[in-house]
Amino acid sequence: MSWGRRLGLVLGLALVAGGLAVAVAPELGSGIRPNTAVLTGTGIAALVLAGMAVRARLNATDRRPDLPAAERSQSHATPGEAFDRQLAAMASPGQLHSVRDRRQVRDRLEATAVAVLVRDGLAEDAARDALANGTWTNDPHAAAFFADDPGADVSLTTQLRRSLSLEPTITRRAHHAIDALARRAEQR
Amino acid sequence: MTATATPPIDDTPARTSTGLALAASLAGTLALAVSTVSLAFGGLGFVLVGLGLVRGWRSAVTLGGAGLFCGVVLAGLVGAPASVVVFATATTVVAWDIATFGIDVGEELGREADTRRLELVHAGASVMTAAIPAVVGMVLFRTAGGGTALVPIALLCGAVVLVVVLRP
Amino acid sequence: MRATESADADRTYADLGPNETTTRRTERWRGVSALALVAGAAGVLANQPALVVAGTVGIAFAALARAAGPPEIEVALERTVSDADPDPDDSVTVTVDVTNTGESILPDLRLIDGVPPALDVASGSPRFGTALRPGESATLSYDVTATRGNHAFEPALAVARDVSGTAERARRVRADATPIACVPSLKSAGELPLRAQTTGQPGRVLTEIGGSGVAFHTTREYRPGDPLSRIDWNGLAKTGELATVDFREERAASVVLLIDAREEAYRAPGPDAESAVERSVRAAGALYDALTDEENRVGIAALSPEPCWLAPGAGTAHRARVRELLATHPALAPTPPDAPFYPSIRARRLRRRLPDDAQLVVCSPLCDDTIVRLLQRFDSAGHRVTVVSPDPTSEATPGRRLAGIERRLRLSTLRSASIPALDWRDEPLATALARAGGSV
Repeated sequence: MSWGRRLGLVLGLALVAGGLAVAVAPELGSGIRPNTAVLTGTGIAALVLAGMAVRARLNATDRRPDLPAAERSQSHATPGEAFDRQLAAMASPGQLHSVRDRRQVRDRLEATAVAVLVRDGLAEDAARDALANGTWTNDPHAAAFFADDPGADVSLTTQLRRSLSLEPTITRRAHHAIDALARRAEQR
Repeated sequence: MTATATPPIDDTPARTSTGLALAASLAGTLALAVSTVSLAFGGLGFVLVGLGLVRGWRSAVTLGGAGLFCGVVLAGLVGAPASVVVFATATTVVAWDIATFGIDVGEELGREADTRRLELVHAGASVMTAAIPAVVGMVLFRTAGGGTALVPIALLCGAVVLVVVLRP
Repeated sequence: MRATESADADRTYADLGPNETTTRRTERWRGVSALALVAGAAGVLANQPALVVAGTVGIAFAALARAAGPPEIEVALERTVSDADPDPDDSVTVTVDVTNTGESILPDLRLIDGVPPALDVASGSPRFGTALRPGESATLSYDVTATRGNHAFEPALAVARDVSGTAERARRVRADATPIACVPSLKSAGELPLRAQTTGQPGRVLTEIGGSGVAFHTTREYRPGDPLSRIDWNGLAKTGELATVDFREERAASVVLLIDAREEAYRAPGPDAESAVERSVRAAGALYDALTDEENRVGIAALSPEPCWLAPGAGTAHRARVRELLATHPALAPTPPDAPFYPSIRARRLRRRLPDDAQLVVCSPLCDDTIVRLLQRFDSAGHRVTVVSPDPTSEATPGRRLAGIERRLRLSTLRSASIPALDWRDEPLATALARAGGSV
């Protein structure tokens, strides 16, 4: 303890002892009469300190390290969770790595789509053309995901519906594209 | 360990502590029956503490404790007997301590775990920590026989200095 | 032994080494002095000395919290299990005795036992809270449900606080306890048709998938005058060419059951579901009996950072070894491996050990492309491959649906390379095999 603290401790204890002494033997304190200023001053000082203490408490955050979940056995990952994370990261705009995520999502979907179409019998070039033109599916959102042209001739109602929907365009298109591919893959 | 789907434990506040804390805050509220205002604050505080214990909300418990304390201060301002004021303060602090302890134990160890001994030892220690200054203070207060204003001033100044020194 | 200390608030308990402790302050009594100050101020300003006295209660708690120091944790744990080699789904009771071996009282001791990561707690709780005087003991017990594997207990986490609850110290405590080893019996599931590759030893083997289950035969070109009863009618139906059955011979096969136990294979459709490796191990056990019943020699291997190999054999002693290996070999543990897996090295080693005429029956969820390439290479190197693939995908989210599509593409890739691949969905293996009795 530093000497300042030591001094304070001594002073505080002395005051308390003095107060107790006067309480026990009132004649000791007969000479001293504290006036109203001292009274109010002490009271206000005490209230100010109390305010500081309360504020210190409100600012103190208690972060306890996580405890192990011993009751449950270790759970395993499900295939495709990483892709879901990338899709979710893509949805939040303005982040630096959302561009990289977008590219990875697009590349992976494109590779899988080409593979599905090739398995159905198309040559690889024909498959890529079908993706670019949107001729591989009836679903316009799914087609729009792979199409090079973002769709200049989209109707006003579609634009309105798109802007009002909460889901970002690219994630919605990705969902539709995956569903369309799943339907196609199940046919075999 | 990886995250699991279902929450591993029932994390509601521990039973023993909940019961003891409710009893303590009830005792404090009843002691505040000296005036209607203090009883109102005390009752509100008791309800908040109970709500916090049922749902595991620490903020409700702290607010409830503050409410009870306001009741104590109001009772003291009105001129309630010293024993009532000191007793109500002590029960307020003890109730808050036991309640937040119960919430902590519930979150960390869960209801299924055997924690009776832990909670009883803690409650006992809390009561002792509150009782010693309360009893000593009451004894001195009685022997002082209604001393001058100097006594409380000196004690308060001493308390202020001690608080400043004791802050970490 | 002096434990090394750390006061970094961001450390997790899981990082603690064997003799390390970490301390922190909980700050739960922060601001309690406000109690004393407000009561005292009110008492002074309104001339009610009783309030000043009441405020000393707050001072007492503040002083206690200020003087708090984290207690030393010196405890001894003794852990016993009611049954060290249970059957699957049996309930095993774990009893832990905690003793305070230090010289001071532990007023607030909390314990979370190190339940093996692959086991679920069925009843009771592995968490415990108590106060112990020096030399005193307390007991904690709970039940776990046994599952396949060798389950070792982890160190328990002990967290101790002082009387006021402000200063905390945490430490991991080891206990010498026997691991729980659960060795399930091998249950037969059904028949899996094997590919046409034999060793030259007598035994029975079924023909390739898509056929009618007739014994192996060699054919030669039809010469006018061959008896009608020896015409290969199946071959005629398939290829349209006349051929004569030269001889029927019942030959034995040498089969290695290869289990994909890489980290990529530890996948499950949901957090509470079985992993694909678990299903693969079960499939291997079930198929062992089906294959061995027909007098073939069967061995076990695993694709894993940990080498796992049991040469093909037969007989009761071999069967016991297979049962033990499938249950307790570290490569097939219920938890995924940490070490890296080098596909080319492991594949080379496996190829060296395989008998020249061995067939591979592979159990793998097919969750990545590496396994497909590996299997194609084995097949073209002369070890005919048949695949049983437990399905770990789900359809709950777009990403999972995409992974399901990619897995189906891998199944197609294998089938188009003439590698039969069974898509084993959420069903008993016998059902999947019966469905594949026609074609996979």
